[in-house]
Amino acid sequence: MLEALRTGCARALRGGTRRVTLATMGLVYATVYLYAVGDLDFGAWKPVAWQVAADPWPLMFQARGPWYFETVARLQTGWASLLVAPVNIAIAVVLGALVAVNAGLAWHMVRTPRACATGGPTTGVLAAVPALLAGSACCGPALLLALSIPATATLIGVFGMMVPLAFVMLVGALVFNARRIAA
Amino acid sequence: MRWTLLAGLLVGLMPLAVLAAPPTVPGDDLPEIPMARFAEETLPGGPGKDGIPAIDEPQFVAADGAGDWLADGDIIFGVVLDGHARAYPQRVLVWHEIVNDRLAGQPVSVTYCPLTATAIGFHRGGTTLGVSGNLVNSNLVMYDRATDSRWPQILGAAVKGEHKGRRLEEFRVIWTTWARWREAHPDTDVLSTDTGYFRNYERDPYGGYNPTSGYYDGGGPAFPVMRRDERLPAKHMVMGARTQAGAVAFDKSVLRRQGLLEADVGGERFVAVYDPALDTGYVYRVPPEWTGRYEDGAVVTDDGGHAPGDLPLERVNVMDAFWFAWAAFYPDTTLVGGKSA
Repeated sequence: MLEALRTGCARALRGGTRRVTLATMGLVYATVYLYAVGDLDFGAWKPVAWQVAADPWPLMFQARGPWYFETVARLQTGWASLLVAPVNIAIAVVLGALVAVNAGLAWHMVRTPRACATGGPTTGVLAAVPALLAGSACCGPALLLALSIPATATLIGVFGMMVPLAFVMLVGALVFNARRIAA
Repeated sequence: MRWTLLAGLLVGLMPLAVLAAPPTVPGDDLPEIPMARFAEETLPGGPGKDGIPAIDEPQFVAADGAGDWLADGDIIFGVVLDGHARAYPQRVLVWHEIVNDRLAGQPVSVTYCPLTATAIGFHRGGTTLGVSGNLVNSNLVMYDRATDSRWPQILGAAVKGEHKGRRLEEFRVIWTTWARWREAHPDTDVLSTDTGYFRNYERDPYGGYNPTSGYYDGGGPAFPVMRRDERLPAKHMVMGARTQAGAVAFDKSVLRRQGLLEADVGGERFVAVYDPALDTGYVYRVPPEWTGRYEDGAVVTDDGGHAPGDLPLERVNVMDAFWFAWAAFYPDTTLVGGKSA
């Protein structure tokens, strides 16, 4: 299976232009994810500033919510402010990379001649959407508050599973489509 | 001999456990609802225990040190204890909900629940309070780090744990604006953004109060409540007080307009007086024969004029709150204003 994965991904990610495009897509996703969870913010212009917690290590793995971790530093550059939570950034990068690879697989399947019979384009990329919806405000998912939908324990539980659900769906789609391409 | 020593050690250590616990009083002003029912209705709010971290080492600056990040119209929660005035900005507390502080030498917790718009101060004794991550009637459920008892903020009483049925000792927190507070207390200090955590204190995740927007500007509660009361819109601000006689809520907009409101609750008489300087109200228990009128921001009685906060009467603690939250905790509350006015 690993060989099929490697082959499928290698075919789908061939080409410098495609790789740059997909890498950009992954970066955009990671950026949107960090904005959705509230770690990235835009506002009035401020000079560049960098602050680090005196003791970042105990903070780094302190959970603020389901799949959402504490900040150890703050970076202010112009209009953008980034709360640096290494674990949140790692989650964003991993999901962004999975989105990018899935997009590459979809691209390849769309552009492959019908004679190769790899089937229609994958919708694996859509698996990334649940993770973006998981961004939480202090006391409940921001989406529910914004839509004035009363939260319930069930909904809170569902939102808490959005990130692992997106991860599983993205990995599942990647494996499925990479093997089809490799075949 | 061994058992004697062990027993002696245990007896010797017991006072330490008592000292660590928060000071409590009997819960004789609690609603006629079993504490267990509140515990059953408690829901997870999203973040886990201490996912919203309380500020345990607050730092403060003088009033003129906050000018570049605190606007005149921003909401602050003001406290005066033994002559020492201190302001806790809403834009900081919205991210932490609890500040474990020491004011005028007294260990206190200043607490704020964004979803119910309630700011209440508690004496914490030898322990500290934290955010449990749970909510009841959309209200913050605190826990004390000595016993892990669970205390819904508006009730101020434990619904679960060693202190079940007991109330925390509380003190008045005034919901007002930074400009008003500075005018009334020019020597105040203010909680700084140096909290030990990094947050976007320029942003309120729910909306804003300057001007009012987002979650705070209408609509219903974010989480299910035990009971809805339609006498007022859900997010209409009231000033609520609870005593052994019962609970009473004064419609804040009516109080602003009329200056002085009266209520009969459980056979006792209460008055609420509006203070235009701080845009707040004070509630007093008054004897049946008491008379007074509101005139130019003061209360005129038989013995002359008095500032709203200085009537020679027994003051009852009062809090600002969204109506839906007050009515959910105190379904039998008397309401002065609203559809009954």
